[in-house]
Amino acid sequence: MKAGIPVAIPLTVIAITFGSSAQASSLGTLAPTVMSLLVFSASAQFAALSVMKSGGNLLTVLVTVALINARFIPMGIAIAPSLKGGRLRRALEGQAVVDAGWAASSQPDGTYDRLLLFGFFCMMIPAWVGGTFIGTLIGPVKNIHLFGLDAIFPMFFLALLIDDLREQRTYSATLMSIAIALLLTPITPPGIPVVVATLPALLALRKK
Amino acid sequence: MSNPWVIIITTAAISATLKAVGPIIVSKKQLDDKHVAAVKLLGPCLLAAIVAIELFSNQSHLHINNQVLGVGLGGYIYLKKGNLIASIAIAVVVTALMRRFR
Repeated sequence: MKAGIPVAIPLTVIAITFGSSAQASSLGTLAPTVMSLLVFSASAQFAALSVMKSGGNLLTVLVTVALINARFIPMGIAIAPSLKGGRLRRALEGQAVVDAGWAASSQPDGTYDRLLLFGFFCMMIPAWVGGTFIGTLIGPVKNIHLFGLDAIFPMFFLALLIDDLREQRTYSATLMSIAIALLLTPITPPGIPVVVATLPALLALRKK
Repeated sequence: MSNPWVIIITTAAISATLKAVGPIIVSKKQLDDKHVAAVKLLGPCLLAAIVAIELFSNQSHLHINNQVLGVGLGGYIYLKKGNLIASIAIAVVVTALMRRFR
């Protein structure tokens, strides 16, 4: 669980931002806090809030959330062999997948450390839900982005990517993923580029 | 605006379903060496895409974000020294300075 501390702190700050934004949208305290507990996906929640604020209907919100969270499908496929039990239990254990925990629990041999995944989840959930609750209480926070805390997540993911590349040296597939993600960003809805960018991983299936 | 509770329940159901799909359709027994190799590649591919989008896009536009210099420097420090905390600190401080003085 200690490994999750550097991520839990900025996550709390982001959660406070979400809570305060939700409060500013007249959602009150309970609804945003319950949403953080049940949905537990920063990008999807911010997107849903944005669509709700702009007057979007239920279908628009659902499609947006589905597209943004579609990355959980390849993440779930990757982590599935490391989970225990039958399908129902694996599906329940798969609920612990969050971006940072999924990435941090990745092992050099292609497996995932499920206890590390659960440890991250146990650190993240109080940070995210508690931060949201605090955010709804304190209301809108001005200029929080000036502190630069939003650099923590890309830096954390970049460090994990560097570790991966040191071990696997999969430069061509990685560069292809970056190119796909950036090429698709202006022409597809949010969420799609990340999912399509996993296609270079299929190159491994062609190797003899 | 739609009823927020309906939105919360349905978005939670969608998220839970998407997280369950992979573990339901794939089990350890089904994967041969080629598939294990593909699964290993998923990690760097997804991470690279997430980092690229975080740094070089603004929703649906390509855009060089303020974190690029900080995360770039942090990444260089991590590459050379392997110190995650120092890398994160540099990324945050440089990003904050960029926003303050830009």
